[in-house]
Amino acid sequence: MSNSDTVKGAEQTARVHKTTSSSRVLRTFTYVLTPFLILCILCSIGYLALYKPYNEFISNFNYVFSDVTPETKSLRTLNKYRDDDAPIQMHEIEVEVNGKTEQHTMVYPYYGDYYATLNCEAAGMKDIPVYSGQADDILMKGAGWYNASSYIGKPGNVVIAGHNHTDFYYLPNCKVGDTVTLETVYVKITYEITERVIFHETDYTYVEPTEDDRLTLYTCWNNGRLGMSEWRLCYICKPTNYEWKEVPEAE
Amino acid sequence: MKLFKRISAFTAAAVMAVSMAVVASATTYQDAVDAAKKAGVPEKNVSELEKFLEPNKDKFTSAQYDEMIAELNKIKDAYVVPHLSQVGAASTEALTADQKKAIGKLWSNTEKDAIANALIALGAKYNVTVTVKDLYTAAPSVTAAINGNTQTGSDKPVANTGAESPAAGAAAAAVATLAFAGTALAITAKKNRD
Repeated sequence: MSNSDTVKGAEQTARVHKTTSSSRVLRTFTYVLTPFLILCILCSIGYLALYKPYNEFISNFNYVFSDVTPETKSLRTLNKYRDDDAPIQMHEIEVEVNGKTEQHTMVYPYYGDYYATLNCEAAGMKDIPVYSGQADDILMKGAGWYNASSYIGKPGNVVIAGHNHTDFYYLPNCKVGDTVTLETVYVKITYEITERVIFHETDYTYVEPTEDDRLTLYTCWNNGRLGMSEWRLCYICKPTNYEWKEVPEAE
Repeated sequence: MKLFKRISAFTAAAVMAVSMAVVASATTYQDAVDAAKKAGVPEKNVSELEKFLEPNKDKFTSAQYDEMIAELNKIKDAYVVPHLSQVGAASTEALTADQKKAIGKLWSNTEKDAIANALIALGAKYNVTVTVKDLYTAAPSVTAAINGNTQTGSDKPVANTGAESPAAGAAAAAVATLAFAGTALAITAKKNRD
C-alpha cells in the first residue's frame, strides 16, 4: 500500500468517527430537546389564544369565587367598578357659551364607565373609546380619562391617555392644525391640535390643572418604535366648538 | 328721630343676621374643595376630591360639608402647620406644589398612617369607602366609592401606555418563545434530514 492510500484510509476513518460523533450530538439534541421545544410552542399558542378570553372572564371568575355572600353580591356585568343598577349621576351646570350663561345637563361617569368617543380622522383615529380612569385593565379596553383632570365639558385640562400599540397607535400621525372631536352623551367638543410635545414620565406638567381649557392626549413614545419607554408623546388641543346635547331625564 | 334710628339699626342688624345665617348654612362641595387646597393637600388629591364630590354633591348636607372642612382643618393644624417654617412657607394657603411635596416627605410613616386613617374614618361616616394606595410614596392615590360604586380611582399622574404594561410584556414573551422554539425545531428537522 502506498503512503497516499494510507493517508486516504486514515482520513476516511477520521470522517466516519467525526460523522458518528456529530450524529450522536444530533440524536441527543433531537430526543431531549424536541419535546421541550414542542411544549414551549404549545404553551405559547395556548397563552396567546386564551389571553383575551381570560381578561374578559376573570372578573366573573373572581365574583363567583369571592368570599362575599350571595345576598350582598350585586351584578357587575357592565363595569367591575360599580353595580349594573348604580344610579345615573346627572346634574345641571352653568356654562359660558359665546359670552352668555346657559344651563346644560352633565352626566358624570363612574370609574371604569365608557365615557366618550375620540376621533382624529386626519391621523386615522376613528371612534376610539374613552373610559373613565387609567387603571391597567381599563387601558386594555380603550383610552383612559385621567380621574384627576377636568370633566369633559368643564373648564380646565382634560387628559386622556392610550396605549401606543392599540388605541393610540395612530396618535403619532397627528399634526398641528388637525381637528379632534371628543363626544360624550351630553356634549360634543371640537378641538384643534396646537402643540406637539415629548415629555418624560416623571414630568407631570402636562397632566396638571391649567387655567385655560384644553385637551391633552398622550401615549408612550419610543422614537417611532413600539415597546417600553420612559417618554411620552403628547398633543395639546384647544377647543374650537361646543355642541351641548339634550339629555333625557334618568328614569 | 331717635326711635327711627333705633328701628333702622335693629332692622339692619336683623337683615345682617339672617343673611349671615343663610351664608353660614350654605356650605357646598366647593367650600370643602377650597378647604382642602388651603389645608395643603396636593393638587392631584384636591382634584380627585373635587371629581368625587361634584357628581355626589346632593348626597351631603351643609352640616356634613362643615364636618368635612373641620376634619381637614384638624389634619392641617396637626400635620401641615408644624412644618411650614421648614419649607419656608408663611401659611398653608401660600404653599406651592413643591412645598406641599416637601412637607409630605417630612412626615413619618406613622403620621401618614394617621392622616390616611382619619380620611378613611371620615368617609365611613357617610358610606364612602376611602382606600389609600402608595401611601409611603411621593404620590399617594386615593380611591373613593360611594355605596360600593367607585367614583374616583387611583390613577397614576402619567399612565403606563406602552408595552411595559405586564400583560403586553407577557404576550410579547410568548410570541418570542414561539418564534425561537419554532426556529429551533425547524433547524433540528433539517439537520436530521441531512
